[in-house]
Amino acid sequence: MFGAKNKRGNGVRADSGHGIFNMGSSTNGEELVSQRSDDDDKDDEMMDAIRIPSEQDGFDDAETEDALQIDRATQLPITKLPYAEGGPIPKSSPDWLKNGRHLELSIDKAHNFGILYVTRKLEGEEEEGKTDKLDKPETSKLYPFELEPKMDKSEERVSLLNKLYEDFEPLLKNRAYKTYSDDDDTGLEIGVLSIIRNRREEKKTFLRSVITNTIENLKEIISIQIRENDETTYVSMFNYEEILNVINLLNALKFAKEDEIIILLQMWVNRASLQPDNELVDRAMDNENGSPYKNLIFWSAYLKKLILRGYFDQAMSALDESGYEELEQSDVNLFNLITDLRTLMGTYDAVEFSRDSKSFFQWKKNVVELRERLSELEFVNKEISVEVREMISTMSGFGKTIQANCSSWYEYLLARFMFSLPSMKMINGYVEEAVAAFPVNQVSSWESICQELFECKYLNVISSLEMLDRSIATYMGVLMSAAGLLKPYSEVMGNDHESDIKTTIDQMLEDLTLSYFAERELFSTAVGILVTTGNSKAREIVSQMLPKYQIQDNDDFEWSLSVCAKLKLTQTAVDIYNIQGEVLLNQGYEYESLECFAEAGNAVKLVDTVWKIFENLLLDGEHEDSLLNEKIDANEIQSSILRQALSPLALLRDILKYDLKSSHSERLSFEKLIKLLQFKYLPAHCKPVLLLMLLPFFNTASLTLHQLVEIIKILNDYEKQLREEEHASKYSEQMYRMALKRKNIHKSGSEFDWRNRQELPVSCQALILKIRELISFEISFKFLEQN
Amino acid sequence: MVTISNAHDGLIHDAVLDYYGKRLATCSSDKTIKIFQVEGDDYKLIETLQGHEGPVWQVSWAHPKFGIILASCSYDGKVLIWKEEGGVWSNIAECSVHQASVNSISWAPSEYGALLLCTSSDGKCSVVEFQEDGSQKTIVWQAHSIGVNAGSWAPPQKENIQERRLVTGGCDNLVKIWRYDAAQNTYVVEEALTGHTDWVRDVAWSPSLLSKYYIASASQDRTVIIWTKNVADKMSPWKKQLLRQDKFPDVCWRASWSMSGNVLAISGGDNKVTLWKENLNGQWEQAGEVDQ
Repeated sequence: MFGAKNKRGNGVRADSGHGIFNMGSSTNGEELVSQRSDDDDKDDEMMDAIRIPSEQDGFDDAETEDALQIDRATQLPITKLPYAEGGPIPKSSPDWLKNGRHLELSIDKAHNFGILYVTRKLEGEEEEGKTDKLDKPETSKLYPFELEPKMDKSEERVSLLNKLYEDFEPLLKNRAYKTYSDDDDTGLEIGVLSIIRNRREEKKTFLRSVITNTIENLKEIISIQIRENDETTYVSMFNYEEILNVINLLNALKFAKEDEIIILLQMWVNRASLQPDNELVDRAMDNENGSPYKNLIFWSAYLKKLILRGYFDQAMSALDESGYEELEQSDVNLFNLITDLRTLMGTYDAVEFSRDSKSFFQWKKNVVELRERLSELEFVNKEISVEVREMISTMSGFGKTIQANCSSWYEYLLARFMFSLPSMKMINGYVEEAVAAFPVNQVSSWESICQELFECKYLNVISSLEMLDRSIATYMGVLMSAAGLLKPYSEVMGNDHESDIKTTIDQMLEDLTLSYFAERELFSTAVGILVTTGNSKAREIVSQMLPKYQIQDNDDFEWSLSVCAKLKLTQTAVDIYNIQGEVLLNQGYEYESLECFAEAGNAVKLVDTVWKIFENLLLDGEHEDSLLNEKIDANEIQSSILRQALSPLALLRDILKYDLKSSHSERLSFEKLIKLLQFKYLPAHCKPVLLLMLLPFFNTASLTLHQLVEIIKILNDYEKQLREEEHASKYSEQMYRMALKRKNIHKSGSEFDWRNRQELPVSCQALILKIRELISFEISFKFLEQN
Repeated sequence: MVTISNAHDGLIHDAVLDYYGKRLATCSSDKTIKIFQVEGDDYKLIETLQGHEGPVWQVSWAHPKFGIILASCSYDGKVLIWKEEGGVWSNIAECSVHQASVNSISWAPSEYGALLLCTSSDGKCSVVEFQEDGSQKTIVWQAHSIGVNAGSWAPPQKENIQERRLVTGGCDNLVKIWRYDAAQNTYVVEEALTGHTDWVRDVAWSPSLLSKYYIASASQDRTVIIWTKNVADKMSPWKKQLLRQDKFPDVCWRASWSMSGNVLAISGGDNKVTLWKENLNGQWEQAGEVDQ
């Protein structure tokens, strides 16, 4: 991406925002090259793209070819989507996608995937009865795809990214990385010098700890993935390995302490390419011919490789096990020479030589002296002596011998650095010699990225790392910025461009954050980055994204609300309460959902939900949400809005709860029933079932004249409502019919349960009439009684 | 990678994932809507909704704060609203205000309430407001001659939540910006943007929270135009910019913005879906093409 900026001078991000999904048959295999282009400019143009293979492509082809391919015409990367049955578009029929038939997609707005499908819509084809007939069954298929395919979906990856965030958090805080090293480079040292130096050292130590932790975390995920041997993580594992090789070198070149450089370079080379391999070790240490020292390969390959790689301890152990002491009797000159060689190995002090060139020169003087003495000596075992001579020549830093014995540019570079002069001033010269002598393997990304690192092309390094892993590349960008490695760009391009570069790192972080929002496991990390960096859009982005976070348990819920509280996102909290209220209601957690609506201050929804629960209770006579029941019965509802909304439900529950047989209860529940029927906000359609509940009270001599008058008033009001409100009449009848239909499901043994009555009026209107008749009867009876 | 086979008995016209990406709704010429449960790579058909009498063109999920609600529109001129409660799907509402095929539907930003924008071949648009008590209020207005192909809501402006805007594209080759006028209780045209020379097939207003409005319009004339306007300066004109200077190889059917509004996806009749992103100079980067 940075390369693109240089090329066009416009700071273009040519990243995953561009690309092609191609479902066609048209991209021929021969038009694709199956490896990355080695042209830097073209690399800079790398943009993700996805191609769905046509059915002729076949699954096997898609599986066996590299996942990433480059289109020769555009240099755009194309990723084949390996659908098991191939794509929908016949390769042999280029006209297939005509007549309005075309590819469409739907992108999930909250996650990292979408759906592709073939569709058609042309005028004239919409006529009724002329519905599209399917040409092929494939046209009715859906093709899910990942928007930005992730190589690694493992838990370990999430853990790695969370650890990275934790390690980098101090650099991210208020974007400290942008100015972290500024005062180190001003040249002005104002204040107490010792304090300034200490602070500077502390900063370096911190950056060193960050890169060291990154290296350790990468090693850990690689070792876990190797152990688990899951083929789905193979690609990511190799990517991590390549990244590790780059970061190891970055650490050695830019973050190492003075005395660590040789050791870190050795670690870089030996991790990147493990040599000597086990097969060579076995062959070299083979005892079949007596002692290993008699195997020429022990000297010509094994011991030489150990020396070139700086494995001096291992080399000395190998010598000790080789049995070369036998030579003391048969070839004393060679024995002495090998003993001297062993001594030189034992005195190579990587720590000391990294920081003190004088001590290195003293050691080297000894090597050169030994090399000089060789010409005067005669040996019995000439072949071995030639090999030992070469080893001494190598250790004396003689370029041609080193080149003759090395197999790669990085091995040559390490040997030259260790034996010629371990100085950072010389390293660029060694690199030039190394790449002139040995080709750089372009298939392995790490080799070319490491070269860019030697050339201090840090932006290219970040860009190249981005191809391997966007997260780590972004964090490396942050680290480089913090270490001041990007400053030289400003000298070349001017200060404005420096701020451009820093803005681009900001942009990378922001993009990374947005991509994390698409993964539930990384959602909190995304919020963390936004908030920590003090992103000016943090509140807006979080307010937009947080309601999309899928809450799975109470911890998630509390975390979401705590973020809202921290960022003072009141409206977002309301949204979350509303959404969660709906989710919980749908899952049957009525009390919790009501609490959410109450917290959201959503009185309309709260009341609406309570009335729905009320309706169900009326129809069924019982209610399943035990928590809601408990809270009502124990009078434990604290929220005033919730108490108010639940009051009719509590009243109904009270009515239904009492044993209706007892006289006290009869009076109590009857009075409550009347109160409920008189409640002015009671939905009209609930009234018929409440009126049904009155029926058992008639002909029991339990109703007073006053109560009967109250019922008459209720009936009058209700009838008026039915006349005036169309909905009231329609829904009342529906509710009444439903109540009759379900009466046998929930009936109790109580004689005061209307469900036990043999005959019930057929409609709501008939019910009103029936009650009026019963009232008349009761009043007449009372009149007769009085007289 | 797994495909979903035999999703429908007719061509699929729309496939939309819900807010959480856990449910996929598809619709088809076979007059049905299908709901799939998404669990990783597994897509399980959980419901087939029947109720339309013609090809179903689009489906749209409402914001989850309104419940699990799906709208669908069809050639039959109807918009149906479906709701899932306790795992059971039912048709809870129907809007039949249009005299011809309803081509697109789009739920408004949830801040506005449960508002559904519908565009129709009868040349009219409608905005249906679903209220808590189950009732509906509908505003219908004449929008484009011949027909309206697509509509999209503007993101809500935090400082003035009442200022609702939307964009429509029609068979008169125009892109029109509409603003809700509370006094007249209707939508009044604010701009009629000219630039396309053939039917406008799709319009998409970016959900971006940046300082500019972004609208993408995809047309039968094989172009995509990005319309921009400064949010702060109400008097500033809408600027138009071709997504690519030369024409696309075929009709541009659909424009879709990503979640954060910074990536635009265009599907064309040329068998390609291309993704576009604006660079720091305000230019839209062309992704290039794969040879046919």
